[in-house]
Amino acid sequence: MRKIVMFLGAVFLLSTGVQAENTEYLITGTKPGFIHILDMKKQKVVRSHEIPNAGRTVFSFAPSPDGKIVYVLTNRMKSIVGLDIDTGEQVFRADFIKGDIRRQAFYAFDISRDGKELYVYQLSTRIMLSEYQQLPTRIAVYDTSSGLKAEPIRTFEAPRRIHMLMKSTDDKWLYALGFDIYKMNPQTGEIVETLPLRNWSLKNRSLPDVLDFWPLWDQTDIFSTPVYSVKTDKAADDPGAYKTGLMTLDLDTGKYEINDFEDTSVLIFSTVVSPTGKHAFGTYTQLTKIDLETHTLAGRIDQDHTYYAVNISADGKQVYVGGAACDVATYDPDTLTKTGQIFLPKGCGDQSTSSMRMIQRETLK
Amino acid sequence: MSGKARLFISGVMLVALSAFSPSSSLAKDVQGKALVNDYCTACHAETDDGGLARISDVRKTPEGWDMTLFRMQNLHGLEIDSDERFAIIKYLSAEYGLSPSESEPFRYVLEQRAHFNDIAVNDDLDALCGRCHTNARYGLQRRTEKDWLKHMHFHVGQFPSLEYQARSRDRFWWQEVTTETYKELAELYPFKTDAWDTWKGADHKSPAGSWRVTGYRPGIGGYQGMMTVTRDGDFYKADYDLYDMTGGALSGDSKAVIYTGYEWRASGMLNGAETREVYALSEDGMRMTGRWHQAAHYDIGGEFQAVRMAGAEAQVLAKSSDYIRVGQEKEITLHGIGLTGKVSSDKGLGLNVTRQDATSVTVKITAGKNMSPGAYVVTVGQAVTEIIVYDKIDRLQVTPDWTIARLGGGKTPPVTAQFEAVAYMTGKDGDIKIGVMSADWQLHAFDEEAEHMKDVEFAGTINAQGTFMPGAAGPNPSRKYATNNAGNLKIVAQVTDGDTIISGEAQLIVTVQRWNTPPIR
Repeated sequence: MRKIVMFLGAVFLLSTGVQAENTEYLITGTKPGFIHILDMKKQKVVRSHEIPNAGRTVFSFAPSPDGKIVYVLTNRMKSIVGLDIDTGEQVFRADFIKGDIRRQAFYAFDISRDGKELYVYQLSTRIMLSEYQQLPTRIAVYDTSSGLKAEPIRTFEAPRRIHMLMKSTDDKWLYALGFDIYKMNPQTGEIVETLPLRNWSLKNRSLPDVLDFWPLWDQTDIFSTPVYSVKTDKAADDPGAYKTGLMTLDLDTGKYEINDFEDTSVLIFSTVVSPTGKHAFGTYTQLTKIDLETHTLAGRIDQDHTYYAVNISADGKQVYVGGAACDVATYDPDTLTKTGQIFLPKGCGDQSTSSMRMIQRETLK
Repeated sequence: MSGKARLFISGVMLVALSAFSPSSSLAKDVQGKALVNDYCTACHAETDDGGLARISDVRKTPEGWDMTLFRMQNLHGLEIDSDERFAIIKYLSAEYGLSPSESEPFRYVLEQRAHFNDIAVNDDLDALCGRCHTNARYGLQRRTEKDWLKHMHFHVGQFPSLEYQARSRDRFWWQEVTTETYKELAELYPFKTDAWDTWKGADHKSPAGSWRVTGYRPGIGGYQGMMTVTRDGDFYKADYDLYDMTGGALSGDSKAVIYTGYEWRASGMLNGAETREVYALSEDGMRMTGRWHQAAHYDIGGEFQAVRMAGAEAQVLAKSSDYIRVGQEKEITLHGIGLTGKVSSDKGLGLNVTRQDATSVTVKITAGKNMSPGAYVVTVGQAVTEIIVYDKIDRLQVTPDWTIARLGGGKTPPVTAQFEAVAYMTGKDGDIKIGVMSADWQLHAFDEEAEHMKDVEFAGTINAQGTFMPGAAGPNPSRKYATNNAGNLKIVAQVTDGDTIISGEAQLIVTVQRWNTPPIR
């Protein structure tokens, strides 16, 4: 995404001859149905937008590559709403329910790198007079220029239990994270490769446990997530039997790996890879620093409270934690000391499992 | 959410109150059938065999049907008033209910117990169903095989997060439940059973009459007395004349409905506190057993047993105390029915009857210094009971040995935990239970983590009766991580026995509030 922003920046430069002032913003969501834009340098909330017909909870979201629109999964997982980040105007809306078919998206959706298409994983249920009928799970593709009554421009069946969709940076592939990671043709849904997770070949190892629905790869194009597993050749009361690893998938190169980095001692909900490439950071009740070169625990501190989502500045010099309450805290990645805390506006009813994403765009006035 | 939760509570229990006054004829089953035909057939089509789609493929408890109607009202636009709702539940419970033997293994959940042992048939069902529900929840349903499959479709359509949850995402949930589990449930809990056919056609007894009541309030002690049940239209009225074991009065009454020919559900008052009663009338109509609890606090209540006076054999149903120490003299009252006979005992136990009538006998009992410890039989005519004579306590067991309590706050009251200290002595053939002792109660951190998080300081307090009162819910800024007041505690009871202090322990998990409190958890 950095590349796209830089490219757009260059176009702007050529056309106007004036250098645009760019700012880095963090986007988060809170109950009841709000999106907040935070200027992390100034450490303050610069925009708060109410999402129309949002139900209550804000689930995952994806910013457009130019940082002008944020697409939000909301309305009890039954709609995706595109909001103009500057004005809060609703510019896109896809309500999934049609006729007797109820569709819900369980977090998993992404936007193409050219900003033209949204990929949404949907569970589908036919609501009949006196019974429900489960239909195949699918991926629906929407054209982002469809306005407020968007309908899918194509659909294809997809495996069950998907919780993350990720477009490759060249837009050639769609990765779907579920039992395994399915590399799909985004035009046809054909699975061209299965990156093993459930089907990993580690000996004397339980199935890996992975559940992640935080798209946090904005600064690196590398998706990362904690992976929990048990060594079955060790006694159940041996702390060394329980391993926490980090899985990384480079959306640019397709490089995929899983490396244990510690005996499981704390829970980690989500992780982010630093733009330095040397470390990753994870959050839940502790902020965890992982050395990506040695695959070891590089540091850990207790946070003020539990957070679900972690992200990082473009220069890798600030780590941000949010989710699970009404503030976003800033940490120094070297010392893991807290350097700031931004409280979300009054009336915040918890960030819940909202995404927390970073954009760089022309400074908001 | 809290509004919905309250609606749930108002279901079966309050129906007895709301429908009691205006027109009791509404409750007639025939009217329930007409209402089902009026309202339900808008969606539930008539089937080839004259039933209604889904409805005629399922059997449930009154609470189960109550929850179904709640769902129809809240999610599918059904609009009915409380009288109609009651009549429909009564009809469906009669037509598509559970027999006494079918509901028997799972009564703990109907009785709204805070502590119970909920064991699944196997680990798979525990993971597939029991990870969200009690195992009683599905054990209290009967469905055709076809309908169990439809139930799976409903589940994932209604709860899309289901396949992603822990203990679910490690398996191919959808594939498993739609190829195997529904068949297993249809075998375990089939729609058609001899038990139900027999019960549906049986002569269901009326609860009207005079009843001898004994019961027990954990942490407080036993109670006993009389209950008089009279019929009033389609309802029953129970008048209570009860006393605790010190003679203190417990008086009140209740208004009850009998569902399915044996399911007694009532709303009442006991010593000024609003109560709910969940009892089962025995198939022969001679006994009623169950639990009552405070309307606002399901965790606080009592065990209940009633024996019909008419035709009952002589029997001891309760005692003011179960035990006496060697060398002591103690007055113990036996409560029961037909206690007019001669009072006698095994050799060595001194008996002196100080008061006797047909329902109670008070005896001054002497356990001589040289008596051997053990169980001594005491008879009152044909009625037989036992008194334990002990010389020392060898072991103290805290019951339950593991349970949970829930933090309280806002509209959700705390859920307390009640512990008791039960003394045992070592006999020739193993431990002999002496009985419940009053004890000193203490809280300790259960492990290092609990010590580190200072759980004892935050999670709650325990009183002299062994009742644990949880702390307030919500994030606590004065705690590490601003976390809530949850905790992992070791409960310690100490009883002084002569010069010795005997201790017993239990574990208590103090956890968060439960927002969703349907009649069947």
